[in-house]
Amino acid sequence: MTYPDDAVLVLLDLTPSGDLASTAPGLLGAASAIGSPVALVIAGSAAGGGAPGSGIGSADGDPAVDAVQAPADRGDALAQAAAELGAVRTLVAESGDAVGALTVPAVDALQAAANEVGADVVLASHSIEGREVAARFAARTKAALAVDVVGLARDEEGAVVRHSAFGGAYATESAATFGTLVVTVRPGAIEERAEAQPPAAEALTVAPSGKPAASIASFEERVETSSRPALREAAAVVSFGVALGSPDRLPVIEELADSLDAALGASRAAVDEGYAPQSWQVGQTGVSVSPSLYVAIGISGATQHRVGMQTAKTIVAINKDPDAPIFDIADFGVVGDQFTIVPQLTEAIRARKA
Amino acid sequence: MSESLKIAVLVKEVPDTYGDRHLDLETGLADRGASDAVLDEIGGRAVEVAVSYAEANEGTEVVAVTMGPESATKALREALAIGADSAVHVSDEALAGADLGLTAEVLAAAVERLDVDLVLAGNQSTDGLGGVLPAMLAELLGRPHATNLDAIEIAGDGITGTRASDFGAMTLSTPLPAVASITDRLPDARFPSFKGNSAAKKKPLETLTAADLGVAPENPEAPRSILISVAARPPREGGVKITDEGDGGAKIAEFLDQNRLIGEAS
Amino acid sequence: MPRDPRHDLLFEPVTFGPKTTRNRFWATSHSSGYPDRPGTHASFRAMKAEGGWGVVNTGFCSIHPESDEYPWTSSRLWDEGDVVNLGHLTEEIHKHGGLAGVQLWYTAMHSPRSESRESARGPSGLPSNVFPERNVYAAWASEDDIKALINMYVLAAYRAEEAGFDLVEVSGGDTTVPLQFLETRYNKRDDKYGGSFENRARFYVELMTALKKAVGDRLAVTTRFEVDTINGDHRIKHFDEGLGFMEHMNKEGVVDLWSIKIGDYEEWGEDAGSSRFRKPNWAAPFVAGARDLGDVPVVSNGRFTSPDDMVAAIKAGQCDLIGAARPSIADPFIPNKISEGRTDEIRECIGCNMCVSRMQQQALMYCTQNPTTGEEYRRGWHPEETGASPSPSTVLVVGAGPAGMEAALTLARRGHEVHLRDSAEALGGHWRAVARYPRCSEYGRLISYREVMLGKYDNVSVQLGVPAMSAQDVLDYGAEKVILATGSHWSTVGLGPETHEPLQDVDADLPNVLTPEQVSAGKPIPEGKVVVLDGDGHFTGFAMAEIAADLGRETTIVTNTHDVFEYSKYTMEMPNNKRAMYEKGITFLRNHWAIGYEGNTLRLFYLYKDTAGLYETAPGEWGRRFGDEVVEMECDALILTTSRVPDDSLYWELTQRKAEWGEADIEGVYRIGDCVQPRHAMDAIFEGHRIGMELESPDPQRPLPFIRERQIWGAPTIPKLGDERPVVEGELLV
Repeated sequence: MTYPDDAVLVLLDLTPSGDLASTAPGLLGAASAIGSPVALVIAGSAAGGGAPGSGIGSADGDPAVDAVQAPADRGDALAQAAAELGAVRTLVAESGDAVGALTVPAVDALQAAANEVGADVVLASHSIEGREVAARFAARTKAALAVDVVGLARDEEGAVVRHSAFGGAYATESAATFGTLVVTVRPGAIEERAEAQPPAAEALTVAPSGKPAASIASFEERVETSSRPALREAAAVVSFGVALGSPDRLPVIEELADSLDAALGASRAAVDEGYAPQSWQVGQTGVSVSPSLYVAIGISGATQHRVGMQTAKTIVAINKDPDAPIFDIADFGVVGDQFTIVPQLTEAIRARKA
Repeated sequence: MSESLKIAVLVKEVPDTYGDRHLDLETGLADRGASDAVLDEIGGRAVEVAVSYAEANEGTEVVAVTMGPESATKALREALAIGADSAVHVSDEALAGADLGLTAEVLAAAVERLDVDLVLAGNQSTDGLGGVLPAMLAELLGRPHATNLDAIEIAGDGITGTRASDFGAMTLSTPLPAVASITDRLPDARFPSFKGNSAAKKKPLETLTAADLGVAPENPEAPRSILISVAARPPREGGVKITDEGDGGAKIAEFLDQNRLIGEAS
Repeated sequence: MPRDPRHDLLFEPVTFGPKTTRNRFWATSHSSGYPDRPGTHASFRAMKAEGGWGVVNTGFCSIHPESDEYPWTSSRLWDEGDVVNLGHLTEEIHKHGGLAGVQLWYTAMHSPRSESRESARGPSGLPSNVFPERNVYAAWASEDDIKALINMYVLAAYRAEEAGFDLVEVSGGDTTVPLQFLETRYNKRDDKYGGSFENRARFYVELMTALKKAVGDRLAVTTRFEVDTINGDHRIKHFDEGLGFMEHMNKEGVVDLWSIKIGDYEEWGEDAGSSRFRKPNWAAPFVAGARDLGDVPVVSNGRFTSPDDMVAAIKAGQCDLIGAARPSIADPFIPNKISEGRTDEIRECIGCNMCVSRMQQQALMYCTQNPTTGEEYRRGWHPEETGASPSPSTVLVVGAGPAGMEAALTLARRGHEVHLRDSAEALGGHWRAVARYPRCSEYGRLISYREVMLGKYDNVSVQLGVPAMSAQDVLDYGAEKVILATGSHWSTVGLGPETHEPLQDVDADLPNVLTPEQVSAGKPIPEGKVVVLDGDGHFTGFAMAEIAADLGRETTIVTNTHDVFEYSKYTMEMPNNKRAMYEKGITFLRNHWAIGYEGNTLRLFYLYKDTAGLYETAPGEWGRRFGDEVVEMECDALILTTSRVPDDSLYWELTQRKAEWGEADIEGVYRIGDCVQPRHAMDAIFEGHRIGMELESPDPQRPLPFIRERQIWGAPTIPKLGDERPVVEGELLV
């Protein structure tokens, strides 16, 4: 079986129920930008799919999951899904006997796939599981490794990857001196999407390396709570100032935050006024945040607030005062009344999400 | 009964997270002004885990290990002040800018030399956000790894723990020797007292070069990942500014959508 | 760090009369209590010039013995001696590139003249409403008297020039004589100086005209004017005669600059608005439009601490220069910090009015935020420079409240190796709860300043959320010096100043007895009638009453003192406190104290329950009979702000184990702040600063001597008996 000369081997994560994880489109999209994506999925034992590297199905041997599909059908379904997202071929590995072992069986599978495909770039997600498979694989095969990458390209000499350092303050590019480049990709960072391909599944035989691994005794799936993310780590922050005017008006802001899965932040003046607890305060004597999105509502942008949020990747500002300093650092600013703009914005976001 | 172990804890010197963090635009290396460098907070937690175990299990030896520039001795002294017994500093100009592969090689060699039962580390450092070194070390040492643990229990014959995985929590166990990493769910490192600080100054700190470890940083046979460009993001300038004419909210939503800042329907 | 270009406009020069100032920062005239101490006064004012204020003014300066407010100390320009003392002051200001201004002040009826014992002259012969208890009047001024008054100002201006001042500022605020002529409340005349607006304005215009003639080509002639007196229906209203007067005066061309304020002498609390009642730039609605009246520059005040607010006020056309009194006390270096892009280091005024309260007690002024206030000369302190310790130590500071934070910061600045520890998760000690009392959020800035500054020093380790330390922990710590700043707590048994006894059957463990700490921590306040038993007399009892009233409780304050929250008469908050209580339906009972509390009955006694013994006295007998009458008050919840108790057990334990200090390498254990004796944060922060500055002294627990300025017997006096009195009677001098 030959593979395209420009094959890029892509290790796809699976969900506990055995489907492709949400990182799959981005990985295959990135791969398609620099070559022909060849996907690798590591289906679990007879019990069904599972998190890669675990080689197990549902933790408690849930008969409903166990009964889902025979391995071949499972592999075909995954190859179909991968092809729709751009994979020109999908290698389906069974992890066989090594049930309940952490990472090592997946490394073995990746090594087998790499040997087959001969790609010069091996991609995995920078997910917790994906990156450790990639890392152990790189260490085992002594290949160059680049992690948490936000972009991929190819120049005359080979693949070039892009990183974003220190909360986006710096952009760096790296490449392998020679040989295969193993890359982990930051979830959500890749915008490119590959064109659908005809499905082409292939079983992959994996020889276990026999290297020692930790045993997985159990797995408990995380139930997504609807609580708001913590301010410090949140990817999006919606922040308000003292112009809120009254704590009764907070629901308007909260609805916007909910529509963006954002944490809530506040200016010092709003905290002083009692509209927000101290823990929501963003600024010099509050929390410093560096989210992908910061929405500043009725916040003037005084220095002591700015120093707490100015490294946000994208800043949106809404303020009645056209001269407010916040507009100097906002990527998108609207001069106007927050109480008409914000509800409209929330509405529009919900419509686009639907 | 004491189940004494020898534990190596990997620590780093990192720029103070909330201070100004800079990359040198010439070398692409983190600008680690000595006064701004501190012991990596997650590394500190790992030291705390080891030291707490040592306090309950007499005879346990905790060694703090780092690979870094000369100034990294400060981070090691902090680890010693928290309660590590000794420290190993791999310091070599030839290792400046080492990629993950070379770093893993060096640390594995340093750890091998110490002949430890357990290697402990923090799950990711605050500047590199790599999170993969412990797994790489495990591969090079031929050991199991139990990483990203929100909870850990160490015993003389093995460790168990709860791993925060992508879709949920896994309980793991492994015999020793092994490599483990912990998350910030583990307690903060204790604040060293003045007594701890002065004791730290007298504890043994060994300095090694790559050559001492039998590692050749310039080995042309070894593929490396190298930096080919560094650029600072230009200082923020204002972008688009419009006046609301009854459509301000809709316009913002459009902007957010274009920039893929609206998530999926939950 | 470079200056934010947005703040550039604050550094533009401004010309007024013959003078040009280097920037738009105007250190407004404010009293200090220092004028009798020329060294202290000069160094205090000059510090503002060093910190970058373009113009630095003195406080009120009496132009003549007929205007004497002793024991409140004003500056004076009565004679040559004053010229010497104020000459030193202008010299110090000039050394740092500032312009020096003096406020010429004559107040007619509103000064008791306790030192000079002279008669004062005013528009009408009326009793003072500001000092009703002192029985002070002014004499009705004839036209000759009016000439004499103007001559007093002129002679004072000549002395001011001799002393080196660059500008004179006629006080037309605080209901001084120019205002008294203007206001119908004081001016009942029917000659050309009374009646119509023009007539009533005449004195002020003639006065400014005379000054212009006398010194106007060398000194700027300016005035501080209360554009709205806020007091009573007959007040000067800004939209009427207030701005009208400014327009009128501008037309005469005899004013080089206006420094405007609101509130007359009785409403001084509205000018020095405390942060509990007034937000920064609260006077803006009153001063709006002032700047548009002509080309004459306008200075406006408003407890400005943020450069962005200052820029906004100027851009909005409110004023040309930013006036600041209290912010310049809290941080004399605001202009330099803005200039150098170090705005995060601005030590913001918290609006507590402790400075004002010191003046109102006829004492020396201090500042909560700036412990070096008043100590520049007498202790040689500087707000920004502490110097380096000749022998740095390792220092353990236990407790990160106001005293502990200040000690740790000062020690860090002097190069000591400091560990600051607190079992709370955040800095501030009990002050964190204080900052959450209703409308007290600006008080929290004393914490945020120290939090920011502590973060800038590598040699201080701030350790929060650590277990409370025992004496053994301290002995094991390895610090060479230990400073305990463990604070105090409100008495849980109602121990108070009246009886010095706990109350019967009272304990904060009971559900219907609460302390402020418990209220802050969320202990429920039972429904029904709430009594706040206050022996403290400051803001905490008020905060507790307000919290209860806002929850809908019927709230009464019981206090032993003559007036409720008596300290607030010094912070100028008494009128607004009472207005707020009136609005919220909070009642109060004075001159009573408690005996005990059981069921829902609070047992009280009236302090004056004994008989006066008016009629029974015969020779050899004493008429007064001791009473035992108990007053019962219905009470469902009792909140205790009776007194505070030091948390000093760690200190006593350690002193008992003094024999072990040597082995532990501890050279000394000291204590500061409330754990020594409960006090205001202002004094706790002072002590923290002092011990940081004096840690190397033989016994740092006790302060080193400071320069004490007073007259030593045998020194020459000015005047002496037999000297001639400067002549102001007769024709106008100019």
